[in-house]
Amino acid sequence: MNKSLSITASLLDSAKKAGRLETLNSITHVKVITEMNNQLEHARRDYKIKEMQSMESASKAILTM
Amino acid sequence: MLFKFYITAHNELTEVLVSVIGETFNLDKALIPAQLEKSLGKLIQQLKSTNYYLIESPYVDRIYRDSYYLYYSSKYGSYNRDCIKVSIFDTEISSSYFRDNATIEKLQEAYRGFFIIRPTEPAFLGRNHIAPKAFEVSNFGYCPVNINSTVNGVKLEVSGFPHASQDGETHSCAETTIWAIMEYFGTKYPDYKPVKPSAIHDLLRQMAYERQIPSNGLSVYQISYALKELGFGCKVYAKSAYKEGFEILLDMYISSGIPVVAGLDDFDIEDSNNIGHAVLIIGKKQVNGEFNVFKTLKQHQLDTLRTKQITLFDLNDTSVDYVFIDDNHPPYQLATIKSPVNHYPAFWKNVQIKHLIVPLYPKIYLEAVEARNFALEYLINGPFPLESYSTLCLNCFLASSRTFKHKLALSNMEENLREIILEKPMPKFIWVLEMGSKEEINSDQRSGLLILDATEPNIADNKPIIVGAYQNNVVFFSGVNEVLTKLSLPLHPFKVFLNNLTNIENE
Repeated sequence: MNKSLSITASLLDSAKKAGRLETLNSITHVKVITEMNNQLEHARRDYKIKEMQSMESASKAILTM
Repeated sequence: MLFKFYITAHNELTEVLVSVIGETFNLDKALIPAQLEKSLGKLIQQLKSTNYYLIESPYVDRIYRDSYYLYYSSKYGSYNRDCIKVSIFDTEISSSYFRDNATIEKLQEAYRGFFIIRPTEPAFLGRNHIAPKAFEVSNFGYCPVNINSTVNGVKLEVSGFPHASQDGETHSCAETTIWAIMEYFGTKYPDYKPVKPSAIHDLLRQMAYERQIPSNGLSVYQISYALKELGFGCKVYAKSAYKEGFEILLDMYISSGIPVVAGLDDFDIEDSNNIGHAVLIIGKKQVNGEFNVFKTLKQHQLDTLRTKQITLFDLNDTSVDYVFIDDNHPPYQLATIKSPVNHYPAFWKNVQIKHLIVPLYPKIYLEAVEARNFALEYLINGPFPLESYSTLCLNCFLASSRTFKHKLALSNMEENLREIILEKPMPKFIWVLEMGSKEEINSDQRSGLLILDATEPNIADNKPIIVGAYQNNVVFFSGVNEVLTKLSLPLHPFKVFLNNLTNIENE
């Protein structure tokens, strides 16, 4: 079979051996990601309100000129 | 009726038009100059004085014919079915050029588009597709589309944005805006098709509670509904809801190369003139050394930035001129978002952009607000946040992954990083957040990228991330369990994408 010319796999292999690869799933990372999720939830609630306000406003503005 | 054509220089255009309009439409020549000045005066004035014109009559225009059979033919008074076509060239031309293979190429090089004159006095100006280079305008980036047009029997091509003035009877500014959007997308992409005025009326018939013709305009809601029915996944944004983030959203979409419908009005002003108007915004001038700090960050984000002494500048927060397609004015009017009607009479002075309707590809589920919220939260408080004492400028826009990869493949990005990104499978559309220092931005370079999946509205657990490359690391999901992984890799400034707009100087 022909050898793949892709370089990502070989780059990852050599990076792993050289200790240049780190997974972002330690306890600290998970804590940070959980807090980030909470903040994004807050932002989403705020966004949903703005979405509703936009729809309400859009039905009232008649463009004629 | 016999086919007639005329060639004229710019300084004689009005005089020739008065004569041709009088003959073709059987109008009183004494009344035409004033009507012509009202409907075509600004267009003729803004066209380059060095242009030459080929005027053809009669001309069958598909848009006017549609309006004619929908409405004008049902009136008691007689309206002509035919139009006049004026083709624009930027050098002197001769009729012999159209019958000689050796000069056809010259004609194509000099061709700057056309405009249609329809018999709907005083609103003479019909459909037009004119290259920005036909006008005395300064440089800007915009969303062009190429169309073919026949001039004196010869097919020529022109790049520009479709424009028409409203006739005030079958289509107002709102219907004209829907037509222009569909003309643009329908000509450029196979997923959509151009529409005629009658098709727009048909679409809206089921939600109309009053007669549709003569047109009384449409609400923002109806425009969005029509565009949704024509194949888009529309998003509507109201200024009253998004406040100072509203203009940033507009810039994100314009930088993405998406023409946006803007609803302008003065309804909330005490001494309102009850003006409501629809226009298209299709491009902008290049940002020129303007760096505004982020205004729309949340308190916890501001606290992190203050603690880590990070300064972020928002390249989507800008006061540059944007490019307007407005059916009351010639195409490519330049104005700022805060003063969008500076070319209108004084009684328009309180009119502001209050709504945006963004015609998105239907599978773009992650829209601008959420994409930007996610990207900022990830960079400021994520698992691999920005380093302390950073000073960075950020620019966010939507791109097709095909176009992005094409530009990336030919860029000067460090080879390993470039190949990692190119080998990443991507959805049809991605959000791109570019990072760079002020110096890098000023020299059109960037030193960091964050690429998000525009089809992923679930922003929990970093799901939208496709790849991030900043601070000498590349971040992506890797392995059988798709774990977010960081690869240390030296990064150098690179020139990649900038935005999705075509600069008129490069056309």
